[in-house]
Amino acid sequence: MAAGHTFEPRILGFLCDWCCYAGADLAGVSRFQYPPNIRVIRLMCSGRVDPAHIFRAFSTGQDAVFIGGCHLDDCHYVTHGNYDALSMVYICKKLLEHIGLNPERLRIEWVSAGEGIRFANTMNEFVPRIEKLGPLGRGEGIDEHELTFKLEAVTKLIPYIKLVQSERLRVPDRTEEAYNKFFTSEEFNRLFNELIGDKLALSQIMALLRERPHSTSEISAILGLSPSEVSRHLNVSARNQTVETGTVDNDKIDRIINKHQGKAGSLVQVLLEIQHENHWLPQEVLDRVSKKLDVPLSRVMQIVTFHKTFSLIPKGRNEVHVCTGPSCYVRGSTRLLDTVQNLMGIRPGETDPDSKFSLETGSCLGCCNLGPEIIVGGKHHGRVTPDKVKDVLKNYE
Amino acid sequence: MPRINSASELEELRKGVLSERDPDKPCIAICAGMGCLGLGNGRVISAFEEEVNKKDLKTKVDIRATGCHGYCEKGPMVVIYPEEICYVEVTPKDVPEIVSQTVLGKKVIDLLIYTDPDTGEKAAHQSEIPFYKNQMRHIIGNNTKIDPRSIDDYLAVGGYSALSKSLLEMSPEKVLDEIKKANLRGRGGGGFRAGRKWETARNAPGEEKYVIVNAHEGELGAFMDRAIFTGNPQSVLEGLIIGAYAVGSHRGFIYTRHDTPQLKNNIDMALAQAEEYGLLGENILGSGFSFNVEVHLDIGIFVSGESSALMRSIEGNAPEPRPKYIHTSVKGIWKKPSVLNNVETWANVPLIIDNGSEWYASTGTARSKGTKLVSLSGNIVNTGVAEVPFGTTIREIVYGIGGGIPKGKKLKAVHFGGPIGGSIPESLLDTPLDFDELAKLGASIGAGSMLVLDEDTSMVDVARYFLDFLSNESCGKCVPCREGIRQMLKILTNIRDGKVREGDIELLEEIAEVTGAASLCALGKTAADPLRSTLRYFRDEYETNIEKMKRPAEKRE
Repeated sequence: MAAGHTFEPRILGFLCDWCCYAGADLAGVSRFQYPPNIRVIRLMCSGRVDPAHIFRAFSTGQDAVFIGGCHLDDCHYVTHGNYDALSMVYICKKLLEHIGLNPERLRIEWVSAGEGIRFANTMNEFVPRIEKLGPLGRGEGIDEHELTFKLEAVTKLIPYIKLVQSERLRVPDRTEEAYNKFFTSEEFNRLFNELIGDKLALSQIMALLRERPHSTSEISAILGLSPSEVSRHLNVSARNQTVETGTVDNDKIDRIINKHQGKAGSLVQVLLEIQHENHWLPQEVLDRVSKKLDVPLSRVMQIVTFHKTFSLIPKGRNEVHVCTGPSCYVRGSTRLLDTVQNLMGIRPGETDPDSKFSLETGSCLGCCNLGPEIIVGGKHHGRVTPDKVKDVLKNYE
Repeated sequence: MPRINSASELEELRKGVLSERDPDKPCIAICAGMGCLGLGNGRVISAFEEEVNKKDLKTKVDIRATGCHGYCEKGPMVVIYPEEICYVEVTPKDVPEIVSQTVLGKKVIDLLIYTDPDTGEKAAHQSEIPFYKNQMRHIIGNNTKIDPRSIDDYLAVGGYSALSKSLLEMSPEKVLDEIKKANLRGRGGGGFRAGRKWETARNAPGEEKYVIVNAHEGELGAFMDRAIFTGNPQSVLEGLIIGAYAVGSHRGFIYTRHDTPQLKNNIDMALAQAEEYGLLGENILGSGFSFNVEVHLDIGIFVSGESSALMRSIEGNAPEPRPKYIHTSVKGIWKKPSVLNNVETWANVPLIIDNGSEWYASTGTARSKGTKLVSLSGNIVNTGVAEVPFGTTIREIVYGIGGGIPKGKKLKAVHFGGPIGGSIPESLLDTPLDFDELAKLGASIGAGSMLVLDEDTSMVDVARYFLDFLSNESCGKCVPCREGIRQMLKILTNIRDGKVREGDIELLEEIAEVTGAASLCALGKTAADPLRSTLRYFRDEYETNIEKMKRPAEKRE
């Protein structure tokens, strides 16, 4: 800590009226000693704690949040609200982890009305741990500014998360084992990433962009996401018209449009040239083309979705094309394609997470003497057997 | 550059070009075709440039990066003029030796010339190599002699004499007549008579007419159009201008591939140079005839090679075919009469005008005249582009030119025409190359791709492969094509995966018939052709496949 100042963690407690609050009361009456860092809010049931409460607490400068409820299966109510509290805490911990905060800052404990000593012990253990972690954000190396927008991003997402929680992240058995098992399983991880992870990343990007425009690389550096992921999110939101991407130089687009303007069939030619230059066609470019050439956007979309030459998503730095023409086919391009797919971990039409390669298959380019062949960024590599392909690909960054 | 305003000025210019050239000056012609490009000829070319600079020979030796020489298998190819010594599979480290020994020392390097793999015989000149020996290279032969980026080179081999002859000595009717008498047939696949097409467009009402070069070349395994157009773009352009004159068109289009930058660059260059010489534009050669050309790029879909789809694409629409109750030669681009011919067809036109229809019609068979470029691929020793007169037997092409099947394997079939063509079995190899003969056998010649298949190939798989390709390429506009292809593919995939049912072959035949009869354009109409031809000649393969699948199933019961 900085000279002279000792860090006093601020902890907010949500305690249930029937058990933990009474337990804390008992600890006080019994004069058990514990650090006085916790400020308590009394609720009727731990199940009433909403993720919004937790993140609001963090947003207003609390360093940790403590939730105390009745022991499982001992809930005062038939609804067994403490199970809901448990699953909510699991999800919130995951969210904290996702935005780079230590999940230990959120803790849930079961303390009955008779367990004053247990409450005191828990606090004796919890407070020093938070002291060690340091102030929220700074302890994790996140600056204040970044912390604000990250928390804001999560807060914005809470209604959605609650929906997902009730729809998809529900544990059928109300037993502690079943809850622990589910929330530590791979299945939960997968569901979380699929349902919430993407949204969270997007929500963070949005929060970031609301302040001022950022480049893809800036965003990726701040959020610790790979550039390809950032572009993917940007692209999705560009299509939803929530974000305007400035990835393309408008002058360049205009130059291309002007070059072809007035000529027959200029739409196809303009789109082709932009595709060649930019390797993909963002929404704003399509809008611009539509406006400048005075062609309805539906026509533009008809052309660009007609064939895979046009891409509506960003491509990798190297476009890899495995020829699947008949000559290459009878010379073994199927095995070659399998090997390439395994090496890159992607299927045709996809881009790998590092944006290094985009894989395409395609028909004959007329170099049948080279079969089976692979074309990387326009350069032909001929007579490539599956064992040689690794050597070809390793030359590309 | 001077603008040429008359036939005599053209001849003067040609003389000037020729007089500046010393026929004894050594010239290194390096193939810069697509196939050699992938074999690293870029490095060979720069090695030659470096070596020539190093030895200070820049004024004494010419280096020429030419179009495809045809023998792609043995690339990169280098021909040293004036002796015409041909080296195959040249690598950059051979370059200093070639310059010192052959270019300067006029000696042949034994190690680098072609050696027959069977007899061990050596051949120092292209004309002695079996691959070239059995060809008749009227169209592609000039590729080794010219730099595709130099119009002067084209003039030096007699280029644009046909244009000046037609514009200044012949009436459009006379040109049309010549083409009709030569019986020039479209090389793109249909084999339709070019003369008739031109005549229809000429007689169609309306002032505005168009001529189009179809350089889309979507047929899988076909690469001869690229070889001509990249290697000798002026010859195609000359043919196009003559055609425009005959049809009465003043605006032409070149529709070509977006994925071959070299091709596009060469075409752009050729157009610019022709325009500078006044061979394109207003008042060509002082004849009063004006003609302009635009280049359009495809979007890489197979169906955009179909005439009506191609024209829609030029209009700026998605390339979807339309029903052709009225031919495109009457109502094509923007409903104006439009003549669409393939690259090779246009390249034949100057030959006919130059040498006369009689000369032209003396080559070939009764109904197919002239020469045909074929591209050999698949399980064949010599992959490449070959030009043979019509009437050459398939056996001659595969064994005489193609060098047979690698690894001593037996030939099973030759597949023509890519995804909408057909296969013929070994027993029919003595069939002559002819539009009608091959069509009778269910294997129409297509654009001229010949995919050679060895004994290890499963014909069921080949049929499935082409349908798989077409299922992705069908534009989806008409149901018979879209659904028919999908269902045939499904059944064939089942046969391959062993999930076969009684009556599958009959069902396939039925779907093939309906798809062929009911589809809108040639893609759907001929989509089942590979399937039909394999069923015709290799039915036993389907049956044994099915039998084999059935047996273990019976055991289980």
